[in-house]
Amino acid sequence: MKEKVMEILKELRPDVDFESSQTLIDDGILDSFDLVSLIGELTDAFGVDISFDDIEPENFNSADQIAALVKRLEDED
Amino acid sequence: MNMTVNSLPFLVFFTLTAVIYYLFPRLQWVVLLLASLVFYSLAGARTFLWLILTILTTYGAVRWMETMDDQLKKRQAGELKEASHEIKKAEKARTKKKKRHVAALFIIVNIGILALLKYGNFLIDNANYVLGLFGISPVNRLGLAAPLGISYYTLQSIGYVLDVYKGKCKPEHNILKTALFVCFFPQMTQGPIGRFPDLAPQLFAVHKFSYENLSFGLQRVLWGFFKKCVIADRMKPSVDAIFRSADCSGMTLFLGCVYMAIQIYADFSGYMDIVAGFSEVLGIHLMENFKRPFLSRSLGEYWRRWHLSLSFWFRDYLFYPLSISKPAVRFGKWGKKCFGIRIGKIFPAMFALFIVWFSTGLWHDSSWKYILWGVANGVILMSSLFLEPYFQKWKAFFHIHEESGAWRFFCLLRTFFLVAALKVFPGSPTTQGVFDTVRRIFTDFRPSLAFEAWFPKLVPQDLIFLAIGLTAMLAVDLVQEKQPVRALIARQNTALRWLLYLGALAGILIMGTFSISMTGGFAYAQF
Repeated sequence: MKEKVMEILKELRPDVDFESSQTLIDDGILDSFDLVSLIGELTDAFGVDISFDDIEPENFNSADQIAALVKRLEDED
Repeated sequence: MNMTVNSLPFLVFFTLTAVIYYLFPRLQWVVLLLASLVFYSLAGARTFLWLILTILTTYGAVRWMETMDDQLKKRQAGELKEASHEIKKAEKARTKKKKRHVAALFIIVNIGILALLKYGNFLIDNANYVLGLFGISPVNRLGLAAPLGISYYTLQSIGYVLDVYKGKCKPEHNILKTALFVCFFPQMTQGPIGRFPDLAPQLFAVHKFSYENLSFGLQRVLWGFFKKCVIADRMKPSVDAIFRSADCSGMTLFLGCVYMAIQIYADFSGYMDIVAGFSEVLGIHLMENFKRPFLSRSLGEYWRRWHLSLSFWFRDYLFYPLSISKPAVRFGKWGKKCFGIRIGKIFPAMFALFIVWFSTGLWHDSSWKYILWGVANGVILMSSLFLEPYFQKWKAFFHIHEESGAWRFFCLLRTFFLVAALKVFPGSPTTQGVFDTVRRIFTDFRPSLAFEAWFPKLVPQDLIFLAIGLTAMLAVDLVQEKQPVRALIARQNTALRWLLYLGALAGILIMGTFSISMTGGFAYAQF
């Protein structure tokens, strides 16, 4: 799953080093448009339902956190 | 009596509050609440009830949601302990849904109050216009006055309720503390729109008097006064005269837009410095509302640096929910089908962006010119989103290096003039006047070197003072972009620091305009 998340992230923003960054939202590396596009891509790729409740920096600050969010939502389904 | 934060009565009021605040450390939050209520009731006792209603509904909504969570927890520990995963999940979803209904009800009530008080007459005026077309007699306007700061405290309360709904913070059990969070007096009239997890713990904590807070706070107040008195209020008569004049040239009108951009920045950020400074004296650090907006390289970046608390509020509580809502997703799917994946992908964001900017315009004022201003911002931002890939190709074709100094400077100027050009909407006295102003700029430019055409209502001495003020403001912004100015000042020796403080104070006294600032208000207070 992490690989697929990384693939989506790299396609979205090829200029960002997603391997090391832990502050994608806190430091404004991903802006609100990136985040909305990312949510759309994750929804399409994994079939998960990301809601308003899930849009928190701690769910999107790193590739690991994003993968963890997707996993949690998959498990909930 | 409306005490503006730069008036003498407010200075006396604040000093008294601060003294009592530090004399009774255990009662600090009570002192702040009483001061806030006094501040608010002086602004108009008639509108006080509306504030009380928002406090009560805020308290009621968060406690109601907490009760639902508690009931679920009890059931999970009792009757649901042995239940299947599906049943537990369904119960959790049911509670979440009920909490969502409570939050929705709270929002409807409070947006309803805001709509009634701030937009009621606007709707009636528009309805009367349509009725008039059919020869139907008009409906009477409402005689209701909107309370001070309603646009700010309503959004702050909604943010708190939604944060509790999302589980980002625990609800406050003391209704009086909730009241303090809703109406903390320094931020009441113009924000910043605080977030409960950041602001509330500071409001309710006990703060020891600290020389650093006093010194840093007063420095900031002094700087706010400098921007307000030396720049904003000195430019205001010229800006007002330009937009009120029916015969000034297109060139002067264009200059009026530029001047207004600078004046509003000095006015609004000056206010923020003053209230942030006063709050710092009390040991309370308010959210930063400005991050050098005129150093932005795009309009999007500008809005991430200007009035941050409002931009972030709209982003978190309107843009995100809208852009992942079912209509937005459907719109995105339709876009992908009709225009391809690349363009269709941005449709949900564009859908949300349009509504957010329409709302931002409406939030500023109940008039079509502000709605048009909001929509114009939205259209530019949507266009840049849509055209971004073409810009990238264009830049690659012309070998433009984005980090080169010349390109960055060009982008700064481009953004500044774009922001200034958009001031044609709020600057013009009426909605019809906006079209008239634009027409005159393009068809009646009349370039001139006459002093009056460049600087109406100003005299050469004003220009000297403004040049000094603007240079200081730009210098501080440039330094602040690299490192905190106050930390830099704190590292200097005592003599130099005091020279700076006295210089700023002397600057305000010599170059400041007091006839307006000590009796009038701030531009954003009207919102």
